[in-house]
Amino acid sequence: MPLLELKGVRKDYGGLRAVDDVSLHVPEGAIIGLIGPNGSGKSTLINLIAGTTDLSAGRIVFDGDDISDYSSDQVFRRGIARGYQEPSLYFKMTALDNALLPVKGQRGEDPWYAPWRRRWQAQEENHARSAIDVLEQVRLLQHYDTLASDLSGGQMKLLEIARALMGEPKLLLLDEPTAGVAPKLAYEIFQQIGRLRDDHGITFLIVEHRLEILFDFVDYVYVMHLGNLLAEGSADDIAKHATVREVYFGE
Amino acid sequence: MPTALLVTSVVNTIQIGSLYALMALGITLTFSVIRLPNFAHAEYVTVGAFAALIVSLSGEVNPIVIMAAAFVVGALVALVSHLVVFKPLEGRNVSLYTLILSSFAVGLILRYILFMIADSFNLFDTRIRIPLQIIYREGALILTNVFAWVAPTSIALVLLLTLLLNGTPLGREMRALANNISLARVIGIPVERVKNYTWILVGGLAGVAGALWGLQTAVSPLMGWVAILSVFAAAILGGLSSFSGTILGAYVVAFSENTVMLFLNFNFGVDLAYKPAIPFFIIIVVLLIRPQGFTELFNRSRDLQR
Repeated sequence: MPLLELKGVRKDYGGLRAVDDVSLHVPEGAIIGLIGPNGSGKSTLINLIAGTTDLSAGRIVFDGDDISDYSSDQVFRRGIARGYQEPSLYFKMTALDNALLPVKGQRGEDPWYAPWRRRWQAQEENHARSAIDVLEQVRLLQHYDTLASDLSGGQMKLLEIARALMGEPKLLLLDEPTAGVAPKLAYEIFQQIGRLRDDHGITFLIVEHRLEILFDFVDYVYVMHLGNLLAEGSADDIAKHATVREVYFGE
Repeated sequence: MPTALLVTSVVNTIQIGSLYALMALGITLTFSVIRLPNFAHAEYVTVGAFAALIVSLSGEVNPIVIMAAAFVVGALVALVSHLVVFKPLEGRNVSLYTLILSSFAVGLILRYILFMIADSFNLFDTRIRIPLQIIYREGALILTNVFAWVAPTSIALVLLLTLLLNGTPLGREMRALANNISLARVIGIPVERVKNYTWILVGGLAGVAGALWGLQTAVSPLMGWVAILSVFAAAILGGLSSFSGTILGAYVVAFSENTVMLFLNFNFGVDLAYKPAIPFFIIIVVLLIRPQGFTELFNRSRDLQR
């Protein structure tokens, strides 16, 4: 059974059909690519899965549960975290604070406990230790005390991933994790993604335009065009696919 | 202006300014975290004062117990007004103007409930009863234990609230809500819970402010409403987002109402009846010259960002 399954998913904006009857599978532990020209419906699809946009039709099943009607916070709690095309961080907080925000069950968030540091300090230190571990995994350790606004574009993307990991997700949705990132760092981001899958069994669904990097890391690729699924297959198949080359590269 | 008058007015500035700071921080907090300029805040203050008054009438009560009662009742009323009025309205996606108007409505309802209570139990213009002692006397300057309660308690609570906001997980989440609430939802911050906690803190501190206010002047159903303009002036001076700016604003307003007013009265014969006009004057001047308030005077990295 796949970890995530979309069945006939559709999204209409007034008369515009942004996503039309899309069905796809994301097996557990896989890195799945979602590609297509601008305006093909990829980001809408990510928003539909993440619960920030409501479905017009179809079902989304995650880990055995129908999550079609979940709100974004319910989706997060169920185990799907996401990163954005434009980094969405708390820019006036440090990297460490950003990473600590999603932690569940913090004792110090209760007003009866918060004024007495003794009651939550031990737990907070444990959380901070795991946040430091996660920051180390994404190579941000030396920036733990840096304000998010002072990080580079690529580091912001990595911090988003680190924050998502602190919510202990099963599936990570990433919308162009390398947008606006220097080529060298872009490759490193994908190396981190590969490592997170290998070491922690996290599943990835990644929208990406830099196909030359993406194709080195993905297990399977879905191609969207004008709201429809145009093709699917391994990276090699897609690279050779005649129709895909036509709509995507204009060949 | 004679020195004795000056010293007394400065003592008043400290006492009133600390109270304004305590109340204005509540307004700043609701505005940033809940996104509501809450005019019912005035009535949380009054409710706290009445709770304190009723407890104090039951005999010789420790002031700490009085404050605690005011906190609990203020917090309850604030939380209930959120759950019954503001939260359902937000769920219907009403405009900010509707929310502001509804906060006036909540304030009015509370105020007239208090009128009814004051009327049935004959509580008009009564002071919260604690034994009065003079702790310091130097010429015309008399400091009583009321001053010893009001100023240090308010300042301590203001500091505690600042520490809470900057140094605890709850504060971290409140700052996150103030900065970007939709992101807070998506990354799993328990938004509704943090909002409830914010209301509890805001209402509780307003209640304590009311109790302290009632130590120095008589308790009346209108007391919060009378103070709210000065308090809003302080919050606007702070740009409605900066803690340090709000605290400074509170003392500026109190200074203008006390020392500056007395100075104008003594030297230029300005009638003391003009005192309530001062906060209006400050609000208008600030909005004309510095719409952002004092905010940018301080390092904002740890404040409530918008």
